[in-house]
Amino acid sequence: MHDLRADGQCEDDQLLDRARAGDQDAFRMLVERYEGPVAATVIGMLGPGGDADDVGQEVFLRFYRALDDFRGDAALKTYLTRIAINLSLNAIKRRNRWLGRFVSRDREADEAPLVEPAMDGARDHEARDTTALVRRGLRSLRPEHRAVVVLRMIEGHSTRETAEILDLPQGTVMSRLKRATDALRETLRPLMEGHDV
Amino acid sequence: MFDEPVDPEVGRLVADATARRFVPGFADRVMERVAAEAPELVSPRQFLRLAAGVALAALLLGSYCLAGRTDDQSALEALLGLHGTQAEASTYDLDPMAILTGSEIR
Repeated sequence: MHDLRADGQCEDDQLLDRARAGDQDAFRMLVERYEGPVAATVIGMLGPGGDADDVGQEVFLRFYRALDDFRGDAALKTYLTRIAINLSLNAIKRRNRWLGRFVSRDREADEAPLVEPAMDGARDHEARDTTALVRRGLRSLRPEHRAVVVLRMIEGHSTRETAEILDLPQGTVMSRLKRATDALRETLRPLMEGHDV
Repeated sequence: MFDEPVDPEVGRLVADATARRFVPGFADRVMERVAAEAPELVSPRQFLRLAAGVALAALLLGSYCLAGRTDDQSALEALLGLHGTQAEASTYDLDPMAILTGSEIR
C-alpha cells in the first residue's frame, strides 16, 4: 500500500518513485496534477487549440522519458514549465517557418499594428471579447517577451525564478517585462479605460 | 534582488483571460502516447540494473575460471575456459617432386 498524506494526496516524490518503477497510474496522477500550470504556459505562449494540446502532450512525454534524470533539484512545476516554454518556443519557430513569407504575427510583431483592424463581422465580434483582445496582445509580442509575460503574469513566478527558467539574467527579464507590459497596455487600453473595444 | 512588481491591471487581464486547462481528456491523450511507446523504452535505471547484473555474473564466472587455472594455462586461457595447448612442430618429409606434381605427401 502506498503512503498517502493526510489530505489523501501522494507527495510528488512518492508518485515519481512509483512512476519510475513503471506505475502508469502514478504518472497519470502527476499529469493531472500539473496539467494546469503546463496548460497555462503553453496556451499563453501559443494560444488555445491543437498546437497547444500537442505541445502539452509532448511536455509530459518528454518528462516521462526523463523520469530517471529528474532528481528534484528544481520543483517539478518549474521543471515542467521549463520544458513547456522551450517546446512552445520551438513550436513558434516551426509555425513561422511554415508560414514562410506569409503573415507571421510572431515575427512581424514589431512592425505590425498591435491591434489589427476588424476585417469582417466575425472579427469585429471577436474584437469585443476581452479574452480575444488579450490573446491578440500576447500574440503581438515577440516570443521571448511573451515567455516572460507568461511566467510572470500568468504563472506568477518571481523575476528570479523566471530568469532561472529562461536561463537569462534577472535584468533581462525585467527589461523584457517592461517592454511587454508597455505593448500590452497599449493593446488593452480600451479595456482598461472602459471603452468599447 | 528587488523583484519588479507586475503591472496589476495588465497582469489581472492577462491572467484572467488565459485558459488553465487543455481540452477535456488531456490526461487520457498523454497516457495513450505513453502506453504507445512504453514497451520500446528501457529506462536508464533498468539498463543500469541489467548491466550491473551482467557485470557481476561475468566477474563471478571469471573468478571461478581463474581459481581452476592449471599451470599450463595462461590467465586468458583460464578466463576463456580453454585447456593449455602445446605447439609442436610437425615435420613432414616432403618430396619436392610431389609438391610439384601434386601427388600425396609421404
